[in-house]
Amino acid sequence: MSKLLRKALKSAILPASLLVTGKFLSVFFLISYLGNNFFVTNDVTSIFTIQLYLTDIQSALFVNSFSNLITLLVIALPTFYMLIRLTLFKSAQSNPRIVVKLTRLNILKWVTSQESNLVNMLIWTVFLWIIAGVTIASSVNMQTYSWVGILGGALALLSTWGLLKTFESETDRIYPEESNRYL
Amino acid sequence: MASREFKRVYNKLGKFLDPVGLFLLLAVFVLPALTVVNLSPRSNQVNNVLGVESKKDVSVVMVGGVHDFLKDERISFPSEGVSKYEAQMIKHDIGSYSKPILQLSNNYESAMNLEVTGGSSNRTNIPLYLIYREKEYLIQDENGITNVANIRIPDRTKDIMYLKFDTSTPLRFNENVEVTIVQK
Repeated sequence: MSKLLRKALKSAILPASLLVTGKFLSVFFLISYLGNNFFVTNDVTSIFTIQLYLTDIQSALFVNSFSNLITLLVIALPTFYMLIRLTLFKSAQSNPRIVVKLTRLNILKWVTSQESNLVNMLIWTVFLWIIAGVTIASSVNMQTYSWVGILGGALALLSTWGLLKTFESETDRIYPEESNRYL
Repeated sequence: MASREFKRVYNKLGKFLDPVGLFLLLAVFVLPALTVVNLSPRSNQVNNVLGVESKKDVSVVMVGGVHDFLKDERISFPSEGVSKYEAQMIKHDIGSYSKPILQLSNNYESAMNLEVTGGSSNRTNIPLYLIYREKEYLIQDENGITNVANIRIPDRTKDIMYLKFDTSTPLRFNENVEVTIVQK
């Protein structure tokens, strides 16, 4: 198996687990917070045979919205943390002034402590897109508050933009834009 | 020695594992997404979720659970504003039995009125009552004659309705029970 594939598989396990765990815990925490009854039924007519039902529509809307929001944040926060560190790391590699600034702020060690890589970042961004997509679809179907869907879309777009900028700076290092750098 | 052999075989067959790896990677993306979608709870109401409903409805939800003498419970909604609860009463001895069967929720600012009828399939001499907010409503008397019960659901309430049957002679065979709720 290729190294890249193995790396991707290894990187994907943590965000996948966080996604499922975050959603599961947030749903049941919110249901117990509301003190609502819930029913688990078998519904062979739909794709998923086991479905969770709440007794009233307002509770379902509340639980769906906030559980999607919590899951979104669980994926978005590590993604942006890694993105910021990766961006600073890549910038520091190409610009010595940034190294000076990082040293002054006393965060150079944090930036360089762990090798940041684009594959890891890409996997996390894909997971952010997955949860943002689920949230947006849920908002369109009016099962989630619209502001949660908008927030999900915005976070996913920001993360993608950050990743593309970092990728651009990385490729610029290998294939510089300025023609005078070529022989 | 064994690890060297393993590495040799792995290097030889490694290229065949790429499609498996790709499939696993796809599964790692797709399965959590499906799980997240499946974990999103739904409600039994099929109305506008933003809280502004075009038609006021009392939400009727089956409580479920296990009971010694009522089984195979099911609920259906044959038309708008009509809910039908059906169950099978298992043969039992003399006694008074009750079970919570339905949860009635009225989330609106005004009270709602329900017309409830019901009975057993063979109209045996078992009086059937519905208990709601500590009040009993007779829907089938000891002669098997059915009555219509008018039940008022106060505004912004969520209460359980119980089915009660008083058996004065042992029931020797299973019998079907149904309760129909019509919103006025």
